[in-house]
Amino acid sequence: MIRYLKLYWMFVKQSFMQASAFRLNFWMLVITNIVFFGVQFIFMDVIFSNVSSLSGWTKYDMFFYLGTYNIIDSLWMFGPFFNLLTMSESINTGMMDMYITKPINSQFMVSLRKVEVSSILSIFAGIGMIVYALIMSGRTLSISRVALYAFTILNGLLIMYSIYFILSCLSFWFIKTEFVEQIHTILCYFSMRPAEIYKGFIRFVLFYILPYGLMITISAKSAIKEVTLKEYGVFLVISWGLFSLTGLMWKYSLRKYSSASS
Amino acid sequence: MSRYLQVAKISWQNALIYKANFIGTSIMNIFRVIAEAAFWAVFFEVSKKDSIGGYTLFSIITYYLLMFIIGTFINANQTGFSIANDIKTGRLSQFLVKPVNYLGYYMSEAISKKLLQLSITLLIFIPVFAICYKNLVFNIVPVQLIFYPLVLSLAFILNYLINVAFSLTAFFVIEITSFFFLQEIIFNFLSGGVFPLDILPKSILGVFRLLPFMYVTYFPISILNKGISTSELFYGIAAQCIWIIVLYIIIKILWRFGIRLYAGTGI
Repeated sequence: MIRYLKLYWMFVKQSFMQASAFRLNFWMLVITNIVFFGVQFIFMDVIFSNVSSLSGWTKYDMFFYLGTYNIIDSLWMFGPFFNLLTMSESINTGMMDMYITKPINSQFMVSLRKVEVSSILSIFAGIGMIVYALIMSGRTLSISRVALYAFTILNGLLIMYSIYFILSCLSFWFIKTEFVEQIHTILCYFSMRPAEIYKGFIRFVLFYILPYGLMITISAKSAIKEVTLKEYGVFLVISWGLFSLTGLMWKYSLRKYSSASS
Repeated sequence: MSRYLQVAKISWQNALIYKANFIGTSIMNIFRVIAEAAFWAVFFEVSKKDSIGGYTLFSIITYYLLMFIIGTFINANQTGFSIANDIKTGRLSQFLVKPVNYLGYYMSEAISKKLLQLSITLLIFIPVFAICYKNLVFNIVPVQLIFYPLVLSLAFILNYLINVAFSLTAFFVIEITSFFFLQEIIFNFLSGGVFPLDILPKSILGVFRLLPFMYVTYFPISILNKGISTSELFYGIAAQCIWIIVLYIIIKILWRFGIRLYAGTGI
């Protein structure tokens, strides 16, 4: 485990060195991030000048939710995203062979090799948003709440990672996998608002079938609202269940890969 | 003229290869409409209001549907990207020696690609319209429809020129790719892509009226969706024309200074 952490730290350092060669790009990502969420904040401002709350979520609850979304999304882009995005490319270019022939867990390599350091700034932007939301709503978080929040976010990331990873593995069978990115984008659209405010079919899908909504909603709730033991239990079962599926999917995909190449 | 028609024909054939992409994008847009509709449904239920900024739930859904159809047609960001890339890689040089106007070339390409994309988008959205027909809200003043092709054409040209003007800054800035994402987000917001602009406070809307962006998508949509007065229609068309002229001048200036820099360092 320590070995992997040390290795990851090397990946991060390497990414830093590469990033300093393109400093403008480094800052542009976070500026784009701030502008994007700025627009969402403006939208919420307009909405909440007409209502005081939506299904129990007030304006600053929403800001906190958006900040949580930003943190999770930025962690996602920092770590797995760009690796999984290019998975089909690695298969086609032979880069995949480099990953699986190393004496290191290949799933770790293929998921985390490339690090997008500029996302760190976006994470800070997200933290800035939640702090702003907390200050404006006059709330404070106890240390245990913060710990729970961080823990929930990391578990929630497992959900995003697992779904995207399992779908990306399909590139071992199909060459064109643009639909993976499109499904992910649709899910992100739906997850811009707490899954709780929806009802019926959409709520069910966001919670149990493609649980991006669950992931962000539970994370935000763990900090500023109450989460029942049952809800949290379901959340953990889903996140770790999906994650264990990735291991199986990966083994299965590798078998297919070795049998296809010479 | 026949040269540009040739370009258009070839672009159409090229674009047909990517029809799966267009179909995918349209389907994604349908989901986006559903996502927005679901959110607004919750809003109207909770607020117990009938309307916000003059929009009811169904007129807002209509807004988003129209926005995705018209917006997809008018959006020619790809051109800006291509131009910036040409400048960066030096590919621009081969265009300078060809007997075609550079911007005209890309315009023909954009028109044919967009027409194809519009056809596919309409095909996909027709079932959606058929299902929701009774619920959609249109407030069209019939006489204004005569001007609609003009409004759409001007909107297309306006959007094209905005993208070109932005991409020509590639003459002066080395790495512009990351700016494009930022530009897209800002453009999307200012032209009404995130939510209908007139739910914003009047003071902010006043500032937006002075900028060209809302005349690209918001203005054409409002003619069909909310319905506007004759004076607003002519004001909008005039704004489109004025901005087209202003942008054309800006492009000419950027081009003159940029090409000098380019010739100095290009291949």
